[in-house]
Amino acid sequence: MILPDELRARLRDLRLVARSTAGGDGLGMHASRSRGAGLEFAQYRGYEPGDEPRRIDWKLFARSDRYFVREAERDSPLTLWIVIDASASMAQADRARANYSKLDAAKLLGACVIELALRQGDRFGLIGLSTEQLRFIPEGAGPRQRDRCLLELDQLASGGALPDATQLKPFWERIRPGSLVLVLSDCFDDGLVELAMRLSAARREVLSIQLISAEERDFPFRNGHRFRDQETGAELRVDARTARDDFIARFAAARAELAKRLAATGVRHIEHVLDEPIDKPLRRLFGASQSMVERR
Amino acid sequence: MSVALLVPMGLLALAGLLIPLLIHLIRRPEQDISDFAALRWLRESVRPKRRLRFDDLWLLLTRLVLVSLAALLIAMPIFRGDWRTAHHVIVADGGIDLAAARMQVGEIEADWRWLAPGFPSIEEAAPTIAQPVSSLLRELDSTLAREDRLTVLVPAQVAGLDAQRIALVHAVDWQEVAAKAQTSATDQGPTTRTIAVRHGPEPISGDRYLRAAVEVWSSLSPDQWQIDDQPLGIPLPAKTEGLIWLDAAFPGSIKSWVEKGGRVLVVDGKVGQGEPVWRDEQSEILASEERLGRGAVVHLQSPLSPRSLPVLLDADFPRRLQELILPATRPSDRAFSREVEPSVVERALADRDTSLIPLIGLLLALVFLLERVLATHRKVA
Repeated sequence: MILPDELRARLRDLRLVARSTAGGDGLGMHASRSRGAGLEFAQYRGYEPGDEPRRIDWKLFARSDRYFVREAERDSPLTLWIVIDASASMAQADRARANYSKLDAAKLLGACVIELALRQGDRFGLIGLSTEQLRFIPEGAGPRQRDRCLLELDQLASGGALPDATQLKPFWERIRPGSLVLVLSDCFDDGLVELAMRLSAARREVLSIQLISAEERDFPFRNGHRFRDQETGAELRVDARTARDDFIARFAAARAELAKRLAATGVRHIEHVLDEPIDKPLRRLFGASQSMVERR
Repeated sequence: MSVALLVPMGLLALAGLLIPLLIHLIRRPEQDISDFAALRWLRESVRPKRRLRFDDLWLLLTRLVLVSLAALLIAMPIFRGDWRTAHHVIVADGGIDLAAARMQVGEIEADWRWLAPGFPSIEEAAPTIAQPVSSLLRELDSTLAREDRLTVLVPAQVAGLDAQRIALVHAVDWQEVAAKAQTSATDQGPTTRTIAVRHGPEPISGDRYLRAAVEVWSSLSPDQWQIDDQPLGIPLPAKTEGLIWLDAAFPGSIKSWVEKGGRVLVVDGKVGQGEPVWRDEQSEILASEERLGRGAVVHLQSPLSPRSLPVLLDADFPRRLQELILPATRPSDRAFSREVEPSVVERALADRDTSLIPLIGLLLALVFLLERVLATHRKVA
């Protein structure tokens, strides 16, 4: 999975930040209470507006007449976990764009944040959930890790329902307190929502992006229609025109309810509709204004 | 002025209207199935109403119109009656002088034609041979619409008539125009016949019947008969064809005239001489004809009184008398034009129908085009 160039360009001013900063060693991008010596040099990175000027390597500047910032191995204590819901309902796509399902959107979002994490030198891991496959990539950093995760994303396919809590328990424990968890799902399954709330209550920072198709938002069907649920297989015969208002009202109520629940436990929850640009939710979560706030 | 159908059974094709209706009915089992993840928030709604619903209404309507037009075409519609304005047709006999005719008729807007088969336009050459005038006039009369006006221009003498008097539906404006200044030696005018009547010093009995008959001839056709009624001794006028001798016996001069080709009628009762030419119901000979040289003597039974000859009082006695005196001739097809002016009779005219088939065909083609556009446009959408 390769990000298109123009999408990559739009990600340039996004930063992954965590609200609660955990203690870690060394200087890093993230303000930390512990400052110590023993920097392990990792790489030089070109200076970008927003970097702290004290991080600039002046010797290199003297030699090359360009600004570079030192980055160290343990400078970035942030660990990002990407949790992707690959149940059968994620195969939903709009009729207008039948090859772009919710799962495709989730994969694209995952690839974007992996790119962000890689740029910042943060560590990241991947969890993909469905009955048939339970994919787990342990956390790591660097381009190799990125390639591993992208390969896993490519192979991820939707189907079945989510695994139950007992199956997931060992994996949840790998998610350390202080890590950033990004849940990419349509949140139709309450099990995942419960787990997100539990994680958030247990000192992990949870971000949730709910994926919604344009048809679910607008319900543009006409005449008599038969609908089928991919997960349960149930069918419903409906007169679309009369059912439209009712559906929109109930679905909106359910979404509002969900947002309230998640907010109550400290989960940052946003919605993303498939016909919107893909960087919009990322901008809301990780946009420049956010990182400015954090630096203070 | 009405629309009618030549083949009303063709409207049975309207049963084909069912076919587009059936095709366009939305059939319940064929509803689309869509995958929908948010199904749990969808409430099963009231079933769609039982009334029939049709898919793509405009295309359906276009197809119904198409089938109706096709059925109408099979039924062959026509438009009865004449919706054109009344014409004024001026038809001219070939023998008239066209310039004089135009001057006489004046500047009126009319359709000028020659009285010839096909009724060619006046621009073409005049017909040279004699035309069957009566027949052509009847034909023209029946082809014109009731509202049209007809003017006929004829010379003083008209040829090509048949034995029936011309009676037309249209009130004809019968105008006599100067004939063409052409001389034709073969042209014979309608013969003016000269009959001479010679009476003796004492009138014979019953001569008033003969005079009355002759009177009838000249009153019916004054131009055709010239009667010369003189006492004996006055010489006969030239070209006398028939002579009525109201005296006992005729002299030798008359006899020689008869031998040269004249005919004389004598009331002497000698009906035994010659061939009997007229018998009554009892087969009594009333008149006989005796050939004399190139002429003939016709003996009439005497005395001329109604008691002995009841036929004297018959209505056709003048005609009989005419046949006796004059030789049977070929019926003439010539007459003076003012004598053969047509009379008006009430008759049904064949209605002029215009077929509506080309119009319906054109409409059908246009609607078919529209239907094709709507059908293919729908698939794209």
